[in-house]
Amino acid sequence: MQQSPLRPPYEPIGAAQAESILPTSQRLLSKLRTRAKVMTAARQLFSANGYEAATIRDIARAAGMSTGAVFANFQDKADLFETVMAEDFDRVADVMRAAAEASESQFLVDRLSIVFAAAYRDGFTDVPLVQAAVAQSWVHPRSAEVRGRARARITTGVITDLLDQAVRTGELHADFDVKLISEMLWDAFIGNYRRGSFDGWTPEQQMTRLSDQMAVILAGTRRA
Amino acid sequence: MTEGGVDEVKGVRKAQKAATRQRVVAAARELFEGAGYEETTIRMIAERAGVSVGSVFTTFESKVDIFNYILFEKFELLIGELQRIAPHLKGTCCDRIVSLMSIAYGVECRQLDLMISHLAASHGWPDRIEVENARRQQRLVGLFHDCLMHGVNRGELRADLDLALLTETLMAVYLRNYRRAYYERLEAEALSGLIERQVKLIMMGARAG
Repeated sequence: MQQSPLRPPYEPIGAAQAESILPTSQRLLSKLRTRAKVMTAARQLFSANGYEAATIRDIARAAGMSTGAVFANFQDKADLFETVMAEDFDRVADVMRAAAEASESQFLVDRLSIVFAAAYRDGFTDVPLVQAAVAQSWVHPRSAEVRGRARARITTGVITDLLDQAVRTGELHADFDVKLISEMLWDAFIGNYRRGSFDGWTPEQQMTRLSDQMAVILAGTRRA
Repeated sequence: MTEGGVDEVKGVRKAQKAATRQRVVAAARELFEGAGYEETTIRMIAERAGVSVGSVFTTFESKVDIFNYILFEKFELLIGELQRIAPHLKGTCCDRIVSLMSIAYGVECRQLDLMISHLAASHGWPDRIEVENARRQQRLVGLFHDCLMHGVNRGELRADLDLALLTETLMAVYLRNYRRAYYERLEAEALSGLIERQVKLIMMGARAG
């Protein structure tokens, strides 16, 4: 069997286990490897060319397989793109949650800063890919939007949790609409990728901007 | 041929070119609104306008330039309306900003598909278009900035505010809501209610005293 390097989280099985598996499982494993190869190629091309300009034909060529093999694994380009972004959203949610748990400060703004800084640094790290996703999210079908929102709810959920905790500790007044605030913070976070793209901002510069924006958005809550 | 004749020919050519331009713009607008910006090709625009692909390219450099021209026209209508209304606004700074944004929602929601195409394309278009778009947006930001300035001067808002940051934050929230209009089919009136809650939250932190 061909030994192709697999990236986490698409290494579903350890090497020791792989030796003892049955042929049917090997087929499954091979299929997963093909999928992973397609995903890697797709990720690179979506990032380099944007969603519209990246074609299945180019992705197949970059992955070293036929377009048929790509279609055996993914319904269409939209499905492939969504799967790539879903993987990223999972990683971002993990990064944010880990940062939230590791943070020692009890203060809301500090905790939010730590979580967002981690998301810029280790979460969505491919700026052109994020831009492609944001552009696509304005025009994709409603069904894709519904799935996209379900994914975004996991990441904004980390923010909402922090705000809820601040309500419990009394740092944030219970009258404030926690959902509205976390949406606004998340939108500001994503919005700064535009600067990353057009103005070449680094994750640190994006974070500095977001800190200022957070201060604006939360200023009222801190005075009440 | 007399000199007057040459001028006449030139005049006719100029008029023809202007007519072609108008037809191209009208056809492109319909297609961008219907099929969307990405799906529309120059060939489709030429067919709908009843001109050759070559003629399209003599009036515009590329598809994104046609789009940019349509956005320019759309923006001039919007900013004209807002500038006309701005001096007559009453109430607190927050009220004024909410009013301006609500009017803008009313105007843009009448051609929501074009607005959505605009916002989608804005994440991936060339730098030269981004520069023009940013310049237009600055004029809109300027209106909100004036409202805030007025609030500071009246003592309603804190004097130490970072007005640039504040307007940029308000603007980002304003634009983002079009997404709700599109996917949740919110009407301009519902958007106006939403932006009121958002602007109130932000402006609470900007109040003096």
